[in-house]
Amino acid sequence: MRGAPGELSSARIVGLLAATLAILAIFGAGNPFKAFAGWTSGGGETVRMQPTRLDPAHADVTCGKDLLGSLAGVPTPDPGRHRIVFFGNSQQYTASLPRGATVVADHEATIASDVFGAALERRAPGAYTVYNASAPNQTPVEVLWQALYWFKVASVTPAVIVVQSSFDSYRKAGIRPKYQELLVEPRFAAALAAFNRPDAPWAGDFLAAQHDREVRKTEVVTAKEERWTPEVGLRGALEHLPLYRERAARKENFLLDLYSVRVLALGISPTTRRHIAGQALTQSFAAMTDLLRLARASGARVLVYNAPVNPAVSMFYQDEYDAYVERLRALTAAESAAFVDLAAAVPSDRWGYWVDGPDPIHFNEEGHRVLAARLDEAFGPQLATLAHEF
Amino acid sequence: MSFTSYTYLAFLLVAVVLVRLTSGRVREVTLLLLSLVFYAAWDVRFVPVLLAVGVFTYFAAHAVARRDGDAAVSRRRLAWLAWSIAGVLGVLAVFKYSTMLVELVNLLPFARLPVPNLVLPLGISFFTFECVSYLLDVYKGGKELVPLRRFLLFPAFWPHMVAGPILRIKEFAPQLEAATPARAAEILAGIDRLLIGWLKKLVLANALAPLVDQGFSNGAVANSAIDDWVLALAFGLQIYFDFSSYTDIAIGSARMLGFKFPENFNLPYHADSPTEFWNRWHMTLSRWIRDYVFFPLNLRAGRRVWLRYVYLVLVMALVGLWHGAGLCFVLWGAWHGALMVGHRLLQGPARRLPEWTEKPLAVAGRLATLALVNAGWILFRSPTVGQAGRMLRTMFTLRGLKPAFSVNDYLVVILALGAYLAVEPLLKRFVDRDPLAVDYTRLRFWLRPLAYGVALDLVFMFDKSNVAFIYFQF
Repeated sequence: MRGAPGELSSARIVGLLAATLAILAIFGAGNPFKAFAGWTSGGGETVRMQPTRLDPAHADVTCGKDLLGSLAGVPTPDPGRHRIVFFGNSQQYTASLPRGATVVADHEATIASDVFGAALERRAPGAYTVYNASAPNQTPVEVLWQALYWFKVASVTPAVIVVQSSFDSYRKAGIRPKYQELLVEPRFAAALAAFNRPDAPWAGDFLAAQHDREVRKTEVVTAKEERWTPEVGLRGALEHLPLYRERAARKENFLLDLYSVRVLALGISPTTRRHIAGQALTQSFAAMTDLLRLARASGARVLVYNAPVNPAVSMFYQDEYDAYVERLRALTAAESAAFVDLAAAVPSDRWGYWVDGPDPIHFNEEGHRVLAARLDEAFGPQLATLAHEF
Repeated sequence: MSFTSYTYLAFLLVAVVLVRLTSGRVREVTLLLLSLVFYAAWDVRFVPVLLAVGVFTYFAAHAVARRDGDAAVSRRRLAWLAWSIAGVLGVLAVFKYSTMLVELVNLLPFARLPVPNLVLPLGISFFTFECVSYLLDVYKGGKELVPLRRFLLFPAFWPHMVAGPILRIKEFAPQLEAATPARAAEILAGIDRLLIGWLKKLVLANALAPLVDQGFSNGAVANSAIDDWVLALAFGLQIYFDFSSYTDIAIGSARMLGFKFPENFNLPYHADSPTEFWNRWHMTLSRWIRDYVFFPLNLRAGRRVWLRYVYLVLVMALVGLWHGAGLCFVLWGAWHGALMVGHRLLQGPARRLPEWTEKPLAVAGRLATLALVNAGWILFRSPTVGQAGRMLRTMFTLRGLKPAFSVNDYLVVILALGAYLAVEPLLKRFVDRDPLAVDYTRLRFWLRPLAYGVALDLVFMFDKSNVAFIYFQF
């Protein structure tokens, strides 16, 4: 039976409403995005990591607000011990496994900074305490931000910083929310204000981070004070709807799905070669320069190493990579920092598996031992000598 | 009260119910009160500004209205018209341009005027233009909208007050006077439109924002040509999805209340010339400028073609100035004026070309328009003229071709472009249907719950109610 055009019966309106609610209930009952992620990951072959002391699940302790908390738990070095702080990306604290390898139960993989610390202890007993302040995808601009905390706010400032310079990190800039949380510490905010230069290439990121933080603070204050507004009330009511309640997890899974599609369907993975140029590169080098100057002005020694690169992966354009290494070498020389190029330090059989091929960033426990040995070889003697000079 | 907040949804729901329950004078008063509540929810201080402009226009229109009389009466009407338009635009000038004017005066060596720092009342550029068009229409013999409560709804009616569409009295008054409540099919069409707007804003426009913000920051000194072109396209898509989504929500809301607003967009990046672009982009502003500024000037220019071109560039520069009190906006407008003049100059030679060139020329015209219009967005979005000039130089000299943004940034732009090219035409066909001519007994009616479910799921996931619409600042 057909009605007149434009005629919408009450039964159909009620049916539409009921069907929409039913669809929302069905959607809310499961998470198809999660199921899809499970399917595309091929039963866990996407990436497999052996837990470490600073494994990815806990990596955020080194950033922002958690840094403030974790510092409280970090024992102050014994009198006479100097603090060495490692800065870098996730390569510094993860142990990636090759394809097919199984995670060893109840085993915490040892990471390079620990092995390096132990070797240093043998060279200069009682001289140093090593702390690893690396974070996932930590860029030079974020390292500079975090270093400001270490040098201007922390009760015991580092005597030495070991900076891992990974070219992959030079393609990004910006200060992520976790880092912005450092602004809750008034001394950090004051140090930042004194340090910031409007003409610095990274200044825009610093300002944007402060702005973002202000916006978020307002939201947090509003939520905490539970000042009632219609919007707060409505959102509270929506929390009863599973589809709304689970929105953050659903979005995360949805974005992971898009990532899987990108890798598996388009073939664009972390191992895909990409240009590293433009603003992010300029900002990163400027941040690195100011980091070295900040450390030196604070009386700290700076040791820089070029991060190992998986020989089985060709993720950089060679001319850009060579130019980067030369620029880094020149920068460290100009700023009186020690430098060692460890790009080829870790052989290809020490790297893990990442989604669709060899892991371009992370290596396994053995790789960490190799890296630690090379770091010790490059910096150990110098640090042993320095121990008596501080 | 943002259009993408849940508060707005609740407000709209209450409004729809109240409008359906009332009629006549009570309905008009209800709509007016709801409009003022909506405006006060943004900033209660601006309600008097809106009311003052509305009341002033109402009484001024009475003075300029056509009536029998001698030449003296005509002169008096004209004088009233001039003064009343000056009054309305004066309010806009004070709030929007006084800072710029004082800063310009202070460039003189002896001038040291204090720089005013006024907050721009939301939607002032829109409701003042509507009041000016009303005065001009009444002067030309158009009907006055009486009584005052009814007229005040013209500038104040919330769905169009903040960022358009810019209505004309002849579109609005008959609908208000007819007072036909929305039928179920129209309410459904309004809901469709509302959800489309929410998705375009929350998923597409907001996804492009981080790349655009980052790309234009720090003077954009290190961007390569390819990145600046990508940025131009990204901003072009962002502002399209942002502004058209606002329009979708405005039109959808009005539809649910029984009003039909004119469209503001018609696939603008499908235009095959700059002139065509302005027939498809912010269409209600284009026709306002065309009817009230450009046509009268064109008549004055007569057969002096060069003067028409000068007027065209000047008028478009004014369009730029309407968007914001800054040199970048003026240059953006002038850029479009120059493009339109260039297009007109090329039309003559193009007509003399063989017939087979027609199709390739149309394709070339479309691509060139897309490139040049998007290049113009650099002027619109750059914080300084220096930065815009640098970026445009990089783009047109193809300085540096290495893409430096993250892969995901390019993918977001490609996805957004894909959505524009593949989905927008379909949506356009869908929303252009007359809801009162649709057969709702067809089986495909039952696809709606699924579409609504997917849309709401995406809205929840990408919900970020504190991100303002770009056009709210104008």
